[in-house]
Amino acid sequence: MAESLNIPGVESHAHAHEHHDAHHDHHETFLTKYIFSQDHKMIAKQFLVTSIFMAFVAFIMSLFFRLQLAWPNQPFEIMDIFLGKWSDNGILDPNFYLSLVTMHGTIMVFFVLTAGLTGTYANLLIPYQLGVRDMVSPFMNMLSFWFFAVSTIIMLVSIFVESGPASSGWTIYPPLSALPQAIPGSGLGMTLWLVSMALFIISSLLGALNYVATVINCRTKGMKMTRMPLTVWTFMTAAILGILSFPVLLAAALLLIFDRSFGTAFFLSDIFISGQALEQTGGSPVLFQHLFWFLGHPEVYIVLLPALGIASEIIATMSRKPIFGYRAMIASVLAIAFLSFIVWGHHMFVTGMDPFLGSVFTFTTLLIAIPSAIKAFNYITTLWKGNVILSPGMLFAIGIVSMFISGGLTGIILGDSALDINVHHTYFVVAHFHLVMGVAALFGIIAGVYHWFPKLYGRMMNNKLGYVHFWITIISAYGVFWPMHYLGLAGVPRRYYSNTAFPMFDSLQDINVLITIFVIIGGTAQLIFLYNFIYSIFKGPKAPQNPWRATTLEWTTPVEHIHGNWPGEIPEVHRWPYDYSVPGADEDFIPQNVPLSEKEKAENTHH
Amino acid sequence: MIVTILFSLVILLTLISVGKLLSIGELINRVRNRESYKITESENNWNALLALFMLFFGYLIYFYFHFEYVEGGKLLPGAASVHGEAIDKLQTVSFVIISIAYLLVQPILWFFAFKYRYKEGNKAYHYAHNNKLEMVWTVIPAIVFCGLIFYGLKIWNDTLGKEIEGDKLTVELYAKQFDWTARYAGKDKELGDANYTMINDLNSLGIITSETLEVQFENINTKRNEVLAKLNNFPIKSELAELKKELTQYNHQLQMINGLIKKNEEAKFIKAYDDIVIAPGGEIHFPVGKPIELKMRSQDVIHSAYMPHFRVHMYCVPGMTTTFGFIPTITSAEMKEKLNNPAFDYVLYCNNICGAAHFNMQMKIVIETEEEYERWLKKQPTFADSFNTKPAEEAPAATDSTSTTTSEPVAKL
Ligand code: HEM
Ligand SMILES: [Cu+2]
Ligand SMILES: [Cu+2]
Repeated sequence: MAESLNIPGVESHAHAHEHHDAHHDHHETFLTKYIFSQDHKMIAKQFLVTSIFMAFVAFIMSLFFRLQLAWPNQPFEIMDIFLGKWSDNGILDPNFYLSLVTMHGTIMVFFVLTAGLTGTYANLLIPYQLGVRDMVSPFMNMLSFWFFAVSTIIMLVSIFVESGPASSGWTIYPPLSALPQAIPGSGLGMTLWLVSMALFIISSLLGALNYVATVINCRTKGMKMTRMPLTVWTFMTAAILGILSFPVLLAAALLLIFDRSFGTAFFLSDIFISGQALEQTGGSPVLFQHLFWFLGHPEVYIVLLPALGIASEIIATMSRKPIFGYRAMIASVLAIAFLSFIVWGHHMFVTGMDPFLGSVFTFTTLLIAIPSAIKAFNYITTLWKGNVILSPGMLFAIGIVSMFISGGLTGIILGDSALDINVHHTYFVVAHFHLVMGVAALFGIIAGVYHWFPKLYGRMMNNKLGYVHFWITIISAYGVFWPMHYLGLAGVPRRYYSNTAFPMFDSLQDINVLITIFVIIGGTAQLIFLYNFIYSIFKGPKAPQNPWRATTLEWTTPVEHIHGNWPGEIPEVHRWPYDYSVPGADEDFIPQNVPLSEKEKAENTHH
Repeated sequence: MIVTILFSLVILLTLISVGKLLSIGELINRVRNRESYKITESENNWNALLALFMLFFGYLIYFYFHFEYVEGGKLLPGAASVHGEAIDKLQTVSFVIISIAYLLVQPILWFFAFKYRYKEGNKAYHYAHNNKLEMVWTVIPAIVFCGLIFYGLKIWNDTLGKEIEGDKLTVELYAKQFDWTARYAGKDKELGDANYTMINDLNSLGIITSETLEVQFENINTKRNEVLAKLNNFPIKSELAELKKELTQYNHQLQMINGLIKKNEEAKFIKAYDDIVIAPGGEIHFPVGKPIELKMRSQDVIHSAYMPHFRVHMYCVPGMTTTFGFIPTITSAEMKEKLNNPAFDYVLYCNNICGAAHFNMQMKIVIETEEEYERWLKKQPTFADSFNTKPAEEAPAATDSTSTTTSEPVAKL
């Protein structure tokens, strides 16, 4: 036993004999248990599996366009096999290139990161960690998943329509997205995109309202707000961001639908296309961008904050230390959330906006860097003098912090309006947001899977595969996105089908090849994860109750899922969630439901 | 082909090595009678070592790309404009700051993961907060960022916040799927008015003059009559909606043109006659050292005028005019010499997704001395010249339409 680091030591806290209770009076059919489930744990798994599936779909899309970028105009048989008419003898069609980019971005941002993080972990952990039997409204929770499922299906169907899927970028700026004459993807494909996103927004609102209501109303006895794990703080904050910003995107989408189908002119003005002067005048394409980024920027924090919350929880647990600066962490999450509503203009510095307005957005944008810096330093200090157990979950959590630092720093360049002039819409932006949002949030999902797999499926994942997966993935992530900064600084624009039309980019072609090779390696590593995930669901070793020796309440529930989470009374909470390595304590952790000892009461230092 | 092989090879190798790893792992675990999910101290140490490797990897990628691309001169050359030089300085300062942060903070993260790896019998240091420390790393970034903000805002205001004064050259950059047209203001230093309803094959910018008004009126009126004729000819249902839509479109367009015709009667549109239009495929010439005022417009979707060598970038948005002023400082010839690359050209290209050929929407820019520029300019025909030099196409149309009085069709609407 001595040589294993995670000795299941708290078995005694739970009621080992209670497993058979799981089968009491509920007579669940396959349909109510697996399909139309109202149980937060099952809904979490539904979100997780759907988003993992979508992640592979979006990844394969990126593989196709990366092949085109690395070896432009070189025929590939696999293109013909997979893309059919969108590939001309193995050469990707330029319109479909843009479709692939668009769908890749849309799926990754919304269907993988948003749904996969909040949908999975807010659902799983809010009731578990707060000591609640389920969400406030399990029915709404179920609806939230099913709106998401339908929206996913519509988005997938849109890939197969005759005129091709949406292709004006995930930011769908009109007039391009409004006019099928301008690009075929703006026909039926775009209509389906808008319908799908409208349903997605409804799903996300149903979920978010539920999360916030649950956190505010349903904490177990003793669970003060200041005793909530940081995961719950970030889920709640992200949900509030979603509630405030997603409706604005819905409004923008509706107005765009009007412009497309009913001849209104909210975003259209003075357009001459396909030999015709359109009737619409007086609208403003820039207005759409304001509306879009009013959601768009908070959206990046909707996905990033939960990932940071997961990192906080895992890093504290696996360092066997309290998270450093718990209150500062909460304060910076709230500060980031507030500021994220007044920085959207940094995506629009060169749209011709008033230079004074640009100055204001520069100011607010660089302010956001301060709470971000605090968070990074606090993570590092949490590791300091810890007793760090490098589980796969922990490695991915450290990876989140690494990506957050690397990607966040380049935000200082982009947020500075004067500097953004020359790097806006180049690969520098692509590098920045993939590191700070894409990879960091993806690592959040993966770290969560490794860490909470025992709570999701009652089994353990294989660590060795986890290690192989992590090291290949993080090297590939840097291998893919780090070089992109230099493409951007050389003036290479994003959303270009190929760079061959410019002699000035010729000397950079080897970067593109390098990137694509890392994409292939990194993608292959995800198959290891997939194998480990599926294998462990069925064949993984049975999980002990508290494999990581963590303090939070989810580890006091029985391994087998039961309705209502705790067979008997809900545990009462007596302390904050980070009592790790408390001097004088017997174990190196004290769960939240353990009452204060006489000595602790006397000292009266507890939260 | 190569990639297909490479791809399958990578997958194969990974799967094999993973399988090996797994079976060995299982074997050891079975021998030791342990459950495979438990992390052994040796596993932990291996991963800690790899974390240490990440520290060096972080340095490796930074310095490799720095020397190969930044020092290696494969990125954009130094700015060839006055404001661009200021931006470059700001960029250097910012990059120095974020590089220092990266080179300090990133290694500490990985180093701590290595240094404080689990050791049997160790106990972590219970250290929940330290207000002084937290103040330090709030205040230091705050001061640094404030410095950057004020420095940045000064450059930003110098670049875009000021009107261009004095003797400036006004040039329009007009974007459409998928090419650029440039228009010089000519002798009167003012661009002639334009309107999107005036666009036709011979007047892709929609420039308004008495001549173009007449041509366009006739043009649209004919098209409208064709549609009307079709409508009167019992079209099939599927065509009906389309035809009706076209009709309202033409009616609307005629209305707009008539409005312009009225205006023209009050005060003639004459500013465009001396304008010089450079058609797609041509070259834009700018004199070195002269303030240039760019005015961007778009015909169809959003494009973006990106001239990275000058640090110039501005969206072209249908329905509005955007502007960017700059002063070029290095001629094309000088730049060719500086870069030791006779094939070098300045170039304007599109940097906002606009459709299938977005990746090839460009125009060559030539920076030259004032005399060279004047010489080039003299050779370019003015907009007025185009009426005379193309009698075959334009002139007859113009004379035809003079016979129809402009007030008559207005009544039809
Ligand atoms: C910390 C989490 C962050 C996330 C998740 C994030 C995410 C993103 C995303 C998705 C984009 C791309 C938008 C596009 O499609 O054009 C982007 C661009 C940008 N980011 Fe961030 N970012 C983060 C941090 C920062 C920071 C700290 C700054 C500034 C200090 C910053 C400033 C910017 C700016 C100005 C742009 C626009 C660049 C352009 O369009 O030229 N970001 N970010
Ligand atoms: Cu933003
Ligand atoms: Cu364009």
